[in-house]
Amino acid sequence: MFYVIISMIIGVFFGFLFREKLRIIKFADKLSNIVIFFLLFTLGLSIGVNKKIVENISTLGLKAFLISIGAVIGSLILTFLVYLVFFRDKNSDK
Amino acid sequence: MINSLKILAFFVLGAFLGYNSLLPDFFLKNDFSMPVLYLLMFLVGFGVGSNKKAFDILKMFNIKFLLIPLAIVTGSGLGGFIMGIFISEVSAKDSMAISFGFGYYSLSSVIISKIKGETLGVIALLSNISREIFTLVFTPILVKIFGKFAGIASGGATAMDTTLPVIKKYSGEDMVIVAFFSGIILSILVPFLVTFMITI
Repeated sequence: MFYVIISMIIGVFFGFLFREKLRIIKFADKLSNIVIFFLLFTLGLSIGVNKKIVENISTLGLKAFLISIGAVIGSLILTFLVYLVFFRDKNSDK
Repeated sequence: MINSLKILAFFVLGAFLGYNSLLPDFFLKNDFSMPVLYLLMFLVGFGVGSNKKAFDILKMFNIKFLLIPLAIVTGSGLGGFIMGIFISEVSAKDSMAISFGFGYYSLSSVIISKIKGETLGVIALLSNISREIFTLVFTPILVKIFGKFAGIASGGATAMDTTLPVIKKYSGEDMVIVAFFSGIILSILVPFLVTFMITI
């Protein structure tokens, strides 16, 4: 999984190098959409083949939902604290 | 938003074809998704590196503004961890890895399914999609309770694109830059944090 990170870093480097080449940037953007479609399609495939996952999709969905609720509530609370401590005073001075 | 729906449609189409065994073995026996994932990561990086707007915004790199994505990382991790303790068959660590997707579901689900298998990959996909949808629907209410950073916090990585319009509408024009800044930082962090969390 090391390669995942390396690929991205190389991407940033090349992206920066080609930042003036609008046609290449447009092409890269289109290509990344196609790649995402392809990856999600193959993820769908491998899940569809796995009958166990399909049959349990509502249980998995519930678990997924609980995790996202936890993540969202945690983010909201901590960001709110950051807001109260570091950002609010500046606004009330107005 | 249209793009999200398209992505979902491809996923559902794949699942449908796979479930009904409608696809040639060729597709199932050859797993090209690993090299394709590297290509995607390259392109994600390319997008960041070539995005001048992103560069200008990252240049205002300000400790104070950095506190916002930092709070989102910590809050998502903690929230995911606590939920993971109570959810059966998902370890707290894996639950944390999923919450480090910050709504960036295409990337997080693919990485997680490659390393930890499809079951966890699906949970990551559904979880991060619901984070995006939740943000789109509830930002108007959340802003009233948790202040003007609420949409940015809830949207996570999606605050720079799909949920930006809602954030702009309910938190104000001045939050657009902050949302973009936080969204970019979180998007860049997704592959690092997700990979780290599931491999340790």
